[in-house]
Amino acid sequence: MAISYTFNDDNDLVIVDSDYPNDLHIVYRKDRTDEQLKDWGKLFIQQHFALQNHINNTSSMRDDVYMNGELGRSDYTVGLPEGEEIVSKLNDKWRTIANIIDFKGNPLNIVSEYEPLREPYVNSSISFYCFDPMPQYFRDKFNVSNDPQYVREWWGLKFDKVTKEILCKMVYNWSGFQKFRRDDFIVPDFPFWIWDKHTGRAVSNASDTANAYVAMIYDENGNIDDHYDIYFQAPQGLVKEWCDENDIPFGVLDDINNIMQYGITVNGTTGEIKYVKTYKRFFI
Amino acid sequence: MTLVSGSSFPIGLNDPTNSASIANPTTTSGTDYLDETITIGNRSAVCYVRLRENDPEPGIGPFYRSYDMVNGTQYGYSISTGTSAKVPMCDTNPVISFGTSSTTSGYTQDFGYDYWESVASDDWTVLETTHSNAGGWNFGSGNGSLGSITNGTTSGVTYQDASGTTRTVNMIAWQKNTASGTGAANDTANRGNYLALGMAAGTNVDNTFYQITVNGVTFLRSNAISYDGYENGGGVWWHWEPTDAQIDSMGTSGTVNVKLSSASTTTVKNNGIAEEFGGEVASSSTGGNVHLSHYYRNAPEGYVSSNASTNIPADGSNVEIRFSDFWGTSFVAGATVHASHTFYPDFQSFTIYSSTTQNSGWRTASFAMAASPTKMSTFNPTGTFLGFTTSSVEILDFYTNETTSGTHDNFWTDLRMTMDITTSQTSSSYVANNNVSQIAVWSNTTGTGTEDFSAEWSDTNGVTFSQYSGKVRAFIHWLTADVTAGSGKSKTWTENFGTNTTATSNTQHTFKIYKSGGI
Repeated sequence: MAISYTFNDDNDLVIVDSDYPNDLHIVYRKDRTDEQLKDWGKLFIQQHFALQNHINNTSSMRDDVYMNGELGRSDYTVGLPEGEEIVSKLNDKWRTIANIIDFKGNPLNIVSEYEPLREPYVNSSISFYCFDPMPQYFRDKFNVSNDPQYVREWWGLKFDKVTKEILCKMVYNWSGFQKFRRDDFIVPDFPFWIWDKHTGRAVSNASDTANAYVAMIYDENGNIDDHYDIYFQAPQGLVKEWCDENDIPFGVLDDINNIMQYGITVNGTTGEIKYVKTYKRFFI
Repeated sequence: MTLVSGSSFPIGLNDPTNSASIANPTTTSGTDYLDETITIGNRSAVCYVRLRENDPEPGIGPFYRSYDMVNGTQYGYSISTGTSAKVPMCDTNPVISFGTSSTTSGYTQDFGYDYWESVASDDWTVLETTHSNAGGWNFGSGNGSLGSITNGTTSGVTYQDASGTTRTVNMIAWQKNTASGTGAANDTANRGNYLALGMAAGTNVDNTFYQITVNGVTFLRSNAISYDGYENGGGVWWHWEPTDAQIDSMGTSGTVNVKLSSASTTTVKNNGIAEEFGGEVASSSTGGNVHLSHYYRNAPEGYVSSNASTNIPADGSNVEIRFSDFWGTSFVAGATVHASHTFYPDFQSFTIYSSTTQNSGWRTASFAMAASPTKMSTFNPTGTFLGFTTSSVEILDFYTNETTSGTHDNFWTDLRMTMDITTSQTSSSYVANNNVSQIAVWSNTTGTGTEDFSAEWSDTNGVTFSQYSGKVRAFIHWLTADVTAGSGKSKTWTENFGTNTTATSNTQHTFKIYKSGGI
């Protein structure tokens, strides 16, 4: 898989992504230099991917998460048999929590069981994402805000099946990340094409907005873990290209169908990009 | 064609050419690349040939001598000559007297030499041959410059030719040949006369110049006797053979105008409004039943399209129409429309994980909206459309868009359109702007009056063609800067399509896609 960038007889940019051989993109010159035109071309195919990629939430779906090209875990909506089984385990082992929140209270909620493939997880765990507003109990417990100006419409809990400890995964828009992140966090350079057309600014640490959202992990004392995740949409070839240019390991998937988005796990204290995750969504 | 302009030409409603024996006026024009004045200089000038007489007597010789092929007075303009100068005539002051010296100098490819030597050699005896590398020019005044030209420098005078190339003229000179006797190039009446044009560089094509005119005497480049480069390199010359009378007309003193020009073109202009825009063009005997009021711009009679000059008042504008409104105007074909579609636009806002998208308009292909009616136009473009041979193009989406993780304000950021083109061809058959010119939108059901916005097809930011099952799906994208708001309108959500999430609560709109022309 690779993306080719060539100039036609009119000196316009022609882009062909080998993952989508039936698609031909042409971006017009408009007095841009070759380099500017190529940047616009990358933004053009990123936007095309995002606008045509229909990934609504439904009550009957499975999300597969790949790390370096290998399937790491699968999340199921709570109404599916796999989801029901995991919810039963939560209700059985974390009764206190089950008294505070109904894991099946929203049919969009998703759950999974997974092995620790990345920091800060160390044991087999259960993941629960909720699409209802966060109850006060958890806001106090993890010392997080649910201001809709900053947080997204879903949030997560991570249940360690060995220690029984619970971590909270808060999902922020870019402004929320900038507001609540640790002061010592380093934000790596983004690829050019994840920027906000609205402001026309390239993304940087100081940006208020970006076509990305971010999740940070909190322990029960309200401490934010070193590792956070940045999520965005793009065609696989563009992600691969950026990873290659920056020596970031990336596992290519041969089957590109159902790719929804990508997630980057960052060590915030060093700015190092630890993993690039591929998310696929299947409607069942 | 175009109508005449200016009050000096009569203009009629019908056709004065027919009704009053007033011929359509013609104008002849060309472009003068160079238009300067020469202050004529003069100097004696000889083009000579050097001969070798082989063994006139046993033990004596060979002998060398020279003959004048052309002599007389040279007039006009030249920068300084000499072996280092890049001019057509390189005077090297060679040994030219009779004697036994075999010293050679001069240039056998100097201006005119080859042309005249072939004539002069007819006079040679069997013992004489043209001595190699021994010929050329000698000026009585030495190697200085000749005359002057306005805007000239020591290297010449420059002009820009038809291809945009800067040319440098270093000599425009003429001479009437007065040589006689042995070796003289005078076998015909004008032989030896010349007009010389020298340039530092230049190709022998009309783009360099089509014609040269000296004091009203014109010579076509294509009629030059010869065109060549200098033997000492670095330049080119053209050589014409004027008559004695032409030489006399070019002048021998004072100042003369000189031009290097393009070809002249003759333009015929109409002098009747109906003649230009259509309508009844009657004979002088029948007259014509045409009315000036029929010639308002975009009037229902259809003679003057909406694309014609805005000097012509628009139909319904309540502006009095005058004959002078039509001076210099031309018939312009009216726009042709592929499809016109009236619909209720919808508005939607949705979040897809990393960003929030707002759309207003019409979406059916993906993230469908509840716009009404549910199906937009399908049209037959006849022939090819964007390079694809097709008889069916279906418009699936036409909407304003903004995707951001920030806050949406009043303005949308891009305009998008999706079409399914039924074709057996692949995406690579795409031809930009083929058989489509513009899109435009009105917030009414008639598609008339001031448009909300329009966009030229040639201004699209980018296109994507996706091939599937006998169709090519075309995604067309304009940035907001590529779109032009109608007069007094702005590119906002509220003014363009509206923001009500119930489609029928928004104003009904008309969308047109133009095959040619536009609003």
